[in-house]
Amino acid sequence: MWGSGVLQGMAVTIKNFFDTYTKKDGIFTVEYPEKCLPAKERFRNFPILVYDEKPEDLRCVACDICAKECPPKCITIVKAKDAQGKPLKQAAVFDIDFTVCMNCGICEETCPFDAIYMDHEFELAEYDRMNELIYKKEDLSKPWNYFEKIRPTDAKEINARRASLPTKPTTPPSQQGS
Amino acid sequence: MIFAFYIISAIILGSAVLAVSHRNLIYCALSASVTFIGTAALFFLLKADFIGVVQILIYVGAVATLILFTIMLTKDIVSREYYVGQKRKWSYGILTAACVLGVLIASIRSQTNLPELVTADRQVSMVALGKEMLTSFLLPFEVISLLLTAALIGGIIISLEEKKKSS
Amino acid sequence: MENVDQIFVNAKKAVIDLIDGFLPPQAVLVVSILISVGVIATVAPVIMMYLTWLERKVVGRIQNRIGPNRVGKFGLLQPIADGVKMLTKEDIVPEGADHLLHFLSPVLVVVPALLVMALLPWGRNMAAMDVEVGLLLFFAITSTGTLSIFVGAWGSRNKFSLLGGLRAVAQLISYEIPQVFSAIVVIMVTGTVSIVKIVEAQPGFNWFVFTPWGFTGLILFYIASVAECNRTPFDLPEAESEIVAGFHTEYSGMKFALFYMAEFLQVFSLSALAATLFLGGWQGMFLPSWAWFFLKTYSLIFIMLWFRGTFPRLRVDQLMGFAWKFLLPMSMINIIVAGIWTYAPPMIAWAAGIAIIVISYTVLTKLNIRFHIDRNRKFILVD
Repeated sequence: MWGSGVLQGMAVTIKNFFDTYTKKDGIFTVEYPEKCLPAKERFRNFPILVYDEKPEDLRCVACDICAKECPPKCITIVKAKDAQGKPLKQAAVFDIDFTVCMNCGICEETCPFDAIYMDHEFELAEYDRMNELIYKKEDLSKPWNYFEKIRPTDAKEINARRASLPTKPTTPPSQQGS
Repeated sequence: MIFAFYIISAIILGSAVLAVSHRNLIYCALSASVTFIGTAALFFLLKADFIGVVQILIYVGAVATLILFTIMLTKDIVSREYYVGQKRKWSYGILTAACVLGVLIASIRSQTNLPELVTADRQVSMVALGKEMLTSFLLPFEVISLLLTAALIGGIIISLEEKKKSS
Repeated sequence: MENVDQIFVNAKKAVIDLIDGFLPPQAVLVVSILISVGVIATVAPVIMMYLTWLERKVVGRIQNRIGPNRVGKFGLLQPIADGVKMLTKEDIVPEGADHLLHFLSPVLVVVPALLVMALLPWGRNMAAMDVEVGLLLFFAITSTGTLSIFVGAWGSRNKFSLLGGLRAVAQLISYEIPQVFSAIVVIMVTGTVSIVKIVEAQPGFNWFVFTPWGFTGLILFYIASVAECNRTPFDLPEAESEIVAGFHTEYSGMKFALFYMAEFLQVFSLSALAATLFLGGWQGMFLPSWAWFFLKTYSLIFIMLWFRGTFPRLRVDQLMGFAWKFLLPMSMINIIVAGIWTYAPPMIAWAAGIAIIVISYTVLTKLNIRFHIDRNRKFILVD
């Protein structure tokens, strides 16, 4: 019958209308500042430096690979020196300029020491570009269990791989340079 | 009542003069519409509701729209082709209007059995109007409908010819 | 119950009695008119504002999203925010535009839309203007709106606006005819043109929609009204993707707000007229009469918003074809059915009415098919 398509179309839309009131996910809107969609596990935003126990004992040894591989060159690394001028296995300065960082994740892929990973934080807007948006070593440090919380499957794989590596006794960075 | 009549007459006369004398064709057509609405107001004043409503419906809703369509489709808006009229001599127009007025006054005065001034108390109902139209005035009614049908068919034939010419 | 029903009428009577002693009778008449007109002139823009709110919420829910809900609880202050935005926008007039016509045209479009609100019966004894030719006056006033749209299109000195205006006026005059023909059946059966008497001819629940000619008449009148208001699916003249914005391209700020206001006021008044003619106006039981009026009108308005959320736009030739080739013959046949209804005994009238309408609907739709869709055709993907 002519006109039945019209009525079928109207039936679909009115079903959607009532579904928004009755069904749990009838409305697709997530009202943003109050509720937030959980990020997917492999979502990458800006990098963080991870530490195991103490914030001074970062895994990073300032090998400079991530700074060399970074496409827009947003990472600045200055190796720490001890009292005699010998280079230490830690970074004195590790700055990432978030206005330059393009969230590609290459630093995470090339780090041989599992020291730098991509985080999920995106609410990082500031008013001042120079003072607020250049993140220093202290701002970038986050504990390893934070990483295990946000990326559990990757963390399991990384932990398994690290457990199978031969261990060498190393001095933690906070005790180097003495 | 008389006061309202004077105001409406002033509106009708003003817009009618504007409709024949303005240089911008669109303003002429719109002043003509104001004249039509004024005439409808006169009909309402005489308690002839139906005629007043039909006056608005037909004159403003159809005739004025038709005039505006004609102007729009034949004159170019961007190059201001719709400004018409050269210098006119008002004397000829005033002379003709005076002659017509003289003839009207003479013919009305020569009537010996003028009816009384019709006050707006007697109201012709729509039912009576409809009945008269379909019984005593049936022949003019049918002739008018034939006329309108002829106009419709003529319009369709002209547009069909245009299509054939252009195809 | 009687008190609640007549609450507004009694309030006005109380005010008139209050000032009756102080002023001469002409002044009392003027004050009485001013009260009715003032109430309508205040209520109508408020109705329009909350109609925009309702539209955004309903269309949002149809599209599985919440409408505006930030400005005030449930977004109820959103129309006020919109109003402030429109008021503070810069009023741009194109250089070569006709300043008088550009200025007048939004006003000329709003005036008929507001004027017809006075003719509607908002409840028992609540029609501001109870003239004997009410329905015809309604149609006459809305037909002057087409002229105003044309003036608006001309005043922009823009060929594209002019084309948009031409299409808008063509659409409006084409859909006026089925609209008036559908209203004629009501006039035929009740024998009167006065809107107040038409409502009184449908007592209790014997509304005209429960008859074959009334049902068809309601559908035809409603579809023609949707086209008269330039609403989707007939909103070719003003859609954003069609010739920029059609005839109101060159209007910004408050002038655009006035065009918008005129469209929504027409939505309300035409839905109210459809409810009055076919659904019984303020007739009904248990609730006060003005509550029934608003209930019926808002149901029809909801259906208009439902159309907006469902259908794509009609193309201009489809639009005109629909009016002249389907709605017009159907409404003429409806008149014949109403004529049979008035003169034949009930059983024959019902049977003949339903038979004629079904047969003519089938014939007209078969005649209107432009191309055949083969629904059994299978499409195979070629790898």
